Amino acid sequence: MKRVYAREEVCMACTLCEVHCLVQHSRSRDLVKAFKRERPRPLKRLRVEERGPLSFAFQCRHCPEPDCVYACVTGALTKGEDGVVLVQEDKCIGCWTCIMACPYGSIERDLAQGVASKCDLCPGEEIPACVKNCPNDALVFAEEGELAWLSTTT
Amino acid sequence: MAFYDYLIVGNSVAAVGAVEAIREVDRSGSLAIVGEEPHPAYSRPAISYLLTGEKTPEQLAYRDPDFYRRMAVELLAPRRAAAVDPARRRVTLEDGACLDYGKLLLATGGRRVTPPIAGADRPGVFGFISIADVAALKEHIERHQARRAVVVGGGLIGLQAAEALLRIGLTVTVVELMDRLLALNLDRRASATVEELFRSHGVELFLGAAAKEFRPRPGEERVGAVALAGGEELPCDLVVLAAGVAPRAELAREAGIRVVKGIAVDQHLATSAPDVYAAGDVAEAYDFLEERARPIPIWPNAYHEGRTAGLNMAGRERSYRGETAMNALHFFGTPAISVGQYDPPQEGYEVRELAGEGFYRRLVFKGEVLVGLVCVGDAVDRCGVATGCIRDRIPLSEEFKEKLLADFRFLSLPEEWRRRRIRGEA
Amino acid sequence: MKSYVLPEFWVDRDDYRCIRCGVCVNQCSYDTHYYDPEDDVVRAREERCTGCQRCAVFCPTNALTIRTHPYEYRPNANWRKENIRDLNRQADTGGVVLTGMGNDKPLRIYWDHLVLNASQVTNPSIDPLREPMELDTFLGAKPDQVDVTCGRVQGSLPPQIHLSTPIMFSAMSYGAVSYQAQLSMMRAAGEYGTLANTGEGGWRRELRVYGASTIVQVASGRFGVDRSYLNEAAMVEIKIGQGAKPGIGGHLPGEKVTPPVAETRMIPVGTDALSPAPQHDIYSIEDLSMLIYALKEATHYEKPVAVKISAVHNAAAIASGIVRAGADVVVLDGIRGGTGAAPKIIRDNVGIPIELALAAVDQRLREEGIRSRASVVVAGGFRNSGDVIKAIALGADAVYIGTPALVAIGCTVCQKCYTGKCPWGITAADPRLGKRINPDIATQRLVNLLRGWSFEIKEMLGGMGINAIESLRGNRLHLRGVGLAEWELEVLGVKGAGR
Ligand SMILES: Cc1cc2nc3c(=O)[nH]c(=O)nc-3n(C[C@H](O)[C@H](O)[C@H](O)COP(=O)(O)OP(=O)(O)OC[C@H]3O[C@@H](n4cnc5c(N)ncnc54)[C@H](O)[C@@H]3O)c2cc1C
Repeated sequence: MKRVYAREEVCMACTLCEVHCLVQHSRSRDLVKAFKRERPRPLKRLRVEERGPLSFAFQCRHCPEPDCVYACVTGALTKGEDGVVLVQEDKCIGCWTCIMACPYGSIERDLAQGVASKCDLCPGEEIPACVKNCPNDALVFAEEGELAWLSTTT
Repeated sequence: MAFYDYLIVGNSVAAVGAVEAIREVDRSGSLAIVGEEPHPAYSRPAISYLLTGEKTPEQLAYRDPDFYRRMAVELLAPRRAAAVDPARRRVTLEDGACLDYGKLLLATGGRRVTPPIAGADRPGVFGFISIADVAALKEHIERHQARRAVVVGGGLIGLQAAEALLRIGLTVTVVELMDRLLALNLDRRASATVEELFRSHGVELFLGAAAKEFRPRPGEERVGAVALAGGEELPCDLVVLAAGVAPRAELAREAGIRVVKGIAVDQHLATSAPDVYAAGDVAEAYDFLEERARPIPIWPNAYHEGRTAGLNMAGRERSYRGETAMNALHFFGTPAISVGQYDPPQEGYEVRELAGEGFYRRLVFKGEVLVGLVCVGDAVDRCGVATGCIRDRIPLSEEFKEKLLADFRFLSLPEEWRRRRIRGEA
Repeated sequence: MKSYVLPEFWVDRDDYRCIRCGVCVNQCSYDTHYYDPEDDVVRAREERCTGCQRCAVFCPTNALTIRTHPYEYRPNANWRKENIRDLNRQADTGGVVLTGMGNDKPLRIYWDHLVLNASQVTNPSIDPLREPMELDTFLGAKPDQVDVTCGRVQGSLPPQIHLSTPIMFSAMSYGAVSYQAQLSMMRAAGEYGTLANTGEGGWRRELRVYGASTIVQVASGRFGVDRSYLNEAAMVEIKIGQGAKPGIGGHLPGEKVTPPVAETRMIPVGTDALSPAPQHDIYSIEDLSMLIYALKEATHYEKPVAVKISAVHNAAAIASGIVRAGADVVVLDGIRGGTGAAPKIIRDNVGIPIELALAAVDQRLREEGIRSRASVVVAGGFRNSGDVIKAIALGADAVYIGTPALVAIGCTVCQKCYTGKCPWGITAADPRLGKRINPDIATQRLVNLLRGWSFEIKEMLGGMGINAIESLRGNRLHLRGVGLAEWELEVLGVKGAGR
């Protein structure tokens, strides 16, 4: 399945992926409203890590055998036919077992709603918002097999 | 007489894990589950939400309502398996029905341990491990206008019950044999945090205290007080007895299948009897940290075991990757997580801690590898990164040990591992 | 000491649109923007702003407008803001006022006073979309005569470089520009069939795969020059001078001599990299000739050798000497030529406009009958394809572009290259900033630039009824001057419009 991969060598830690992820997961889909009006404040589903010249954005791998889904005690986390791992918020009780289980650290606590929050690969969009809005092509939406070129460009 | 390619006894998470795995491999083989409880598989860890009324039994369902049909599973419930005959590949139900199988999975879970306390079978004394337990408890509270509860057992289950009881307005006292709460789930410092939480919410704690007797109310059968070994008497309208669970392995034992504490299984989750597998709380699977088999009665492991068993039953050979103990707890909104050997059993371990307001993190290393962790409060965020370090035995230099303690993120991992993670290589 | 320098730019932030996302904060390498958590507001330290517009481009809500600062001194035609600011800067530091990019003074831009011809009625124009149109250009000495026997050229020609368009990327050294910027220019040059120049800062190993489209420079510091450096490139260029700073050398401070820079320049880490003002072995045309032939020997007479000078008053005579010294290509860099760092006073006051230098050099070489012995390449302030085609008509074989290439990959000509903190990652020394150029994207943008300009040149050629750039070269009849004085028309060798 297609996933979002980060290219460290061209990520400039601008965090626009985070900004647009948050907006994509807001009710209004409007930058200003999403950030300034909507309560609870929508959450971004990926994070940018940065230290010195090194930076990259990271989100759920939608693992073929997802530890979070297997660990989830309520069945709120599911892996769909399309391979996307989703949280069913009305089933989530905020026990954070998934956070304990995910080796990618890709599930965050939505404290306002008391539920787990994670990348859903932007259902309905051809390309996830983070990838679409990365100004430097530091995020690519690709099949695992298409990855070889990634490390060879610079 | 019925024959099933796959037969599963017990209808909970281990069973679901097995069903989902079997159906990944074999869409057509006949499959049935015998379940003692009348419900579709439900979230046992969430039963306290039934007590508080935040969830109905339907909302506790672990899978969607269509699950059994979708997976072509015949759910035989509520019915109880009474005997297994591995030689004839036959399971006999309590109602006399005989079910023959190609492969059998025993996923019968655990049962409440009843310590030798006089009056433990008295009305008003409840377990807290099933929807039925909660329903009975709830009915008792309403019928008797119960106001005061004593929870015997300061472990995970007991404390979940205690918080729920408190939330619906009861006065709650917890009696724990050990000198701290959650002695099997957290280190001493994290336990102290939880104790403080309960105390600050008005729960009285009796630590290092043994319940000796459940005394009746004057003139009635039902419980009216808990007498402690130290002489105190705690008057109450009900008792929740949560002194632990034990594998429900008697079906296996009576069938001559090897049982230690739980049912013994190999790396394929196969028992000593041909074509009989076991998974979940009833089994004792491999703990990769302890490097031995032992029962670890937690939900994620039950799923993993069920899944591995299912794959093997359906003919796709798969070795159990091994799990270890881990707990995600939360009380009064404060989360606490522990994984692995957070309380080092002997010398030769290195403990690093970081604490602040509403934040506690403890990492335990053995040489270069992380073997255990405890996180309380905001320290739980992304702690799976550390769980991953434990599982993958990622060698961590001094530099990375400190980085990891400070922040659970990929930049806290050595470069090679960071790259592997980004690429999603397990 | 309290500085009296007022901010040059004003940061206008629309607070309704500002979502406190922090992108401006993280994108400004000068720390202009900062978030104040107490008031939950993003503020600016205007005095740090260079007006590079990085923040405005990246602000997701377009909340930022960066304008020149509206402060005013008493109006004075003589003592303008810039003079007062430079004085204050100098009084603060006692040093030389530095700057980057090319001269920004309102010197006459002759391109804007030259107009092209087009066909009407009497000679048909050509549509480049329907008919073949050639921009192919060959750099190198052309023999006086060729012996063609049985349809084949007999003997060997001096080495020639084929360009598919008469536009090359000018010398910008590693250290002055980031690795990513250099890589992108070399890749784009290779993809489009032209050349990029390494500049004088050496040539990184990883970039040598682009050798067929690379010009290497031999300057006074001789950084990174060895046998393979010379032989792996397509052409060698001796740098005598640079349009932005005629007569002076260069100085890359030790702190910018990081391990990769040191390795590439072949000097110790952390030492100042000094390019002396003169080449210490060249004090005459004869000395220059020796270096030219030394380089030809080293490259087995297989590569053209170019000599680059700043356009100065007697450029024509010098060019003549250069050709006679054996150079295959003469490069002229005009007063508007860019730089990574130069004393402002030099950049703005020394040298002559490239248009006049080109006309004078081409004229002189023709008069002396040696024009064909070398190609003429010009640089310094080319802004668009119109400037390029006019230069060709004035007599140039090809042009070098620097600033347009940088603008294509983000540069906004803020002139702060010398700080090494270019927020666009172009002239940045910090690897955190260099990453801001994705070479894939930058290469594409540069190729687009070459493609766009080349197509425009074809259209203009077609309009003149010409189907090969070769036919326009030095054909000043296709140019007319507008608003120029007699002496200017005379130097340019063009008639006034209407004549
Ligand atoms: C209150 C509570 C809170 C918990 N919280 C957590 C938590 O937060 N995190 C965590 O990881 N774990 C938690 N656990 C533990 C977790 O629920 C168990 O590890 C898990 O349920 C084990 O699943 P299982 O499939 O092995 O068996 P079980 O869930 O125990 O289910 C076994 C099923 O088999 C049925 N059965 C048994 N014998 C027969 C028979 N002979 N015939 C037919 N049916 C039979 C039983 O009725 C039962 O329905 C909690 C448990 C409880 C009780």
